[in-house]
Amino acid sequence: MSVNDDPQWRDLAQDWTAPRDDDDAEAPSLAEVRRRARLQTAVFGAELTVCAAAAAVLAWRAVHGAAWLPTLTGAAFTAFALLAAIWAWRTRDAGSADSVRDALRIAIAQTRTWLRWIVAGYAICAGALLHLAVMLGDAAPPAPPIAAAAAAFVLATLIALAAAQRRQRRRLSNLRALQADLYEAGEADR
Amino acid sequence: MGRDPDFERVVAEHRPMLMRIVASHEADPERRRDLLQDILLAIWRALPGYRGDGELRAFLARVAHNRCVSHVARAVAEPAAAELHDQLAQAADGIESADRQQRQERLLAAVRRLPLGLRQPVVLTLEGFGPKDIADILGLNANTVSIRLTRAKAALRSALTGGGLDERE
Repeated sequence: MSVNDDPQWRDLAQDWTAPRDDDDAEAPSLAEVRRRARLQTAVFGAELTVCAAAAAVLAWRAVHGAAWLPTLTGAAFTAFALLAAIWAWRTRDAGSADSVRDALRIAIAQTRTWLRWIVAGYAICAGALLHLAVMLGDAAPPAPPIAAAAAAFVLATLIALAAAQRRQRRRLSNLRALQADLYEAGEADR
Repeated sequence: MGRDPDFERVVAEHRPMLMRIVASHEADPERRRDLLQDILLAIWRALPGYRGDGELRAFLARVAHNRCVSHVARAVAEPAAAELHDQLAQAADGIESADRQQRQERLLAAVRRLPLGLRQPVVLTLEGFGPKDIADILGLNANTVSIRLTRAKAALRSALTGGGLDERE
């Protein structure tokens, strides 16, 4: 049945598709769309640059005899940030999925992966805090401002991860509710 | 990133449909604008992969609906029940125009209040797609689409004649 076969749908479709007065006021310009695409590319480029710079500093420090434990922690942070950035860049778009059902499936899988990334982030932060505690108990502890800055950075990362985890859990729950609404009810219709 | 005449032409031609799909999923004008921008970005990226093996309109509707479900999942709440647009309170050019606009607003409000499982097939039907196309776009079978449309039509009829929606979420 298309709208042409049913007079009630046809009448509704006429109202639905009639031009609206506020159509043009709401439309974003194509220049905005291009700007946003460029911005996303620039953000990804910046993330890669920061990771490359951090890796270079770590390598330089390692070559010049820096302690291996902080270098290792820094390398873990850098690798985590790099992999997360690349993953987010490569998998962000479910728009071209074959159907809404597939788009939902992809979105759910992506959200689960984000949650796994967040758990990995917690593990790295816990490792970093442990490492910091060990260093503070060492015979030659780091200068207090450096230790405080490192602790603040790790704590800020933990807070950001917790917020992201809450957001992603809520999203996963919403996606599952939508999936149930759109498809599990649909199976019962058959 | 240079100008892309295909993208510009496609958007110019199909923007009204995309805006109606967006309007059926989001009541807030600012968020509606963001959602439309999301959809245009997704079309920008998906368009090079369009092989011309189906109707372009169906391809665009699919991309738009894919984005809309992600949007609804991100939103804390479902779109707010639509109020009659402020513009209605202002004088329209003529009684006929105001009457048509009022019918449009009432229809849009009724569509927004449908559960998503009914709203999506209804929007696609109002856009002129048949059950087979709708089934492809949503990933349902045609029989399920027909059953949902029958339920949705009853719910819409009830809402538009002042009875409220029976299918409220």
